[in-house]
Amino acid sequence: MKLIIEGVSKSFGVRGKELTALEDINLSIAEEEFVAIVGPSGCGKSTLLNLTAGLLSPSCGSIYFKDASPGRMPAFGIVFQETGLFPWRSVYENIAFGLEAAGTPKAALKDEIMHYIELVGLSGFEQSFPHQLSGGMRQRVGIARALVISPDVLLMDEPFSALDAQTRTIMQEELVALWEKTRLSTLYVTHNIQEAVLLADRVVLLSRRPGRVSNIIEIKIPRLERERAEHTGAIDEYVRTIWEHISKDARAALLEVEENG
Amino acid sequence: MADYKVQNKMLPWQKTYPGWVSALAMIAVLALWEAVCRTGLVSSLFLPSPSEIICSLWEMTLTGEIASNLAASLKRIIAGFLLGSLAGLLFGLLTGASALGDKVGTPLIQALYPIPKIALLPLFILWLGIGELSKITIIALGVFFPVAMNTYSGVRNVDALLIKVAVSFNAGRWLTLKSVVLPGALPMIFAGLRLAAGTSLLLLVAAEMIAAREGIGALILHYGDLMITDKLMAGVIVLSLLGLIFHAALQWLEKRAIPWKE
Ligand SMILES: Nc1ncnc2c1ncn2[C@@H]1O[C@H](COP(=O)(O)OP(=O)(O)O)[C@@H](O)[C@H]1O
Ligand SMILES: [Mg+2]
Repeated sequence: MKLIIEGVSKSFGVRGKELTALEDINLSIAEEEFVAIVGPSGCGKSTLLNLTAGLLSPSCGSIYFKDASPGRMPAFGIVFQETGLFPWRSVYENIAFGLEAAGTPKAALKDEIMHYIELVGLSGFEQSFPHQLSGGMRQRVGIARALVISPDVLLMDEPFSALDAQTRTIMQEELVALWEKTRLSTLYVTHNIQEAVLLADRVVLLSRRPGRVSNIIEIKIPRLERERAEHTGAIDEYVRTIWEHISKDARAALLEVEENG
Repeated sequence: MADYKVQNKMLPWQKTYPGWVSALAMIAVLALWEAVCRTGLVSSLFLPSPSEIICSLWEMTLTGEIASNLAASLKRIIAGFLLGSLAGLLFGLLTGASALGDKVGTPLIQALYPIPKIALLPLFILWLGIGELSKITIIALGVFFPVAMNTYSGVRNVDALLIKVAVSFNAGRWLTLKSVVLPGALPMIFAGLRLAAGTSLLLLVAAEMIAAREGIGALILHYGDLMITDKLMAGVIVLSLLGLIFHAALQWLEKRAIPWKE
């Protein structure tokens, strides 16, 4: 089963004016593929993710699964940037939400939830509330919540951008390990080039306003070896190439006064 | 094997209807009301039809009956509201921003707040006479509590980081209060003012029914005694309009006072 984004554009009406956020995006995510989307802030990364997740309607184009098994709706697991945990639910109950929504009987949830709590390293915090957790732990809950429903595709919108650099590095390493266990098709949005190069099979570069796919770069180093010293040079080379592609856009984005920011 | 198209699942939550739907619903309710009265299902003594009420309202406006009663009511509610909200604001700022004020003032507020204010009207009449002052005082008192309590929690909930920023620049207490705490508390203060607007209308009518010859409350009670229900309802309509205008005025003020609020 392959996720296909075909000719997708999206414009917003802002005070009577049409603002084209995305234009003619064509992209596919194969099974067990990790695709990262990189672009300057405001280029439409979140918009693309929301369109893919079915939380926004495209202005034109379509998004579909090719060769989906009939009779079953493919599921998305989504990790949001601001975590979006329910403050009034404990860690356990937050993770349980997706399963409850799917109609799984409460009694049958326990093993599944405990498995994912352990997988993201939150054992002992089941009964804690989100406000009692650090930023990194909160995002782990977000990841467990997305994984527990056994999604067909994992969508992540800058999941680590609110974390400090050290926590972020640790979380990236954990995500690599976790991903190798689940091997879910993943669409990962970030503005951090280093992060994209460490995580993804392919890095998609978005230009800004209107957001277009300006380049797709394949990272040819095996994912589990990317932290090794012998690959440092190659990784840096990827990062430098990508930065060259997008730095002009990023500078322009910085200068621009956001009309609706 | 088939293709599965991704659909927007948010659509049911984002549905919107044009403004005329509300107008249509309003007209439908009025039409139904009118129809029920016209068919004689209920006697017009118990429930006058909308058209009758409008006619009476028009007549009473022409004779000046509405104007004189409304003027009396407006004087009371405006004076009471201004007095009460000003006192509430000051009290809330004091109890919210000063530790001593908190320890002294908060138990006092908590003890007095649950008293239904109208129960104090006889006492106020005894103290201040049956004239305007007792009515204005009771309204002011009713306004005081929600404003004071909301100001207090508004002050208490101002982002501690912003206060830290001010203090880091060696801002004095007064400057911090004026330029950081008060603006930060404004959204809560306005929520309090909106609550108080409802309370003040309630107390106005209650006080006028108990102890006044003029005013919309007195007018409603008068026509109730005479069983002239269409004129009674005309008074009720005036109250409803008064409430709407009150609300709109507060909204206008809030927009000007909190331009940074989305
Ligand atoms: N609901 C919306 N209404 C109007 N404009 C929007 C809306 N959502 C996003 N935009 C605009 O679309 C552009 C892309 O936004 P976004 O996808 O959030 O960018 P990114 O996630 O890459 O920072 C921005 O210019 C933003 O202002
Ligand atoms: Mg974004």
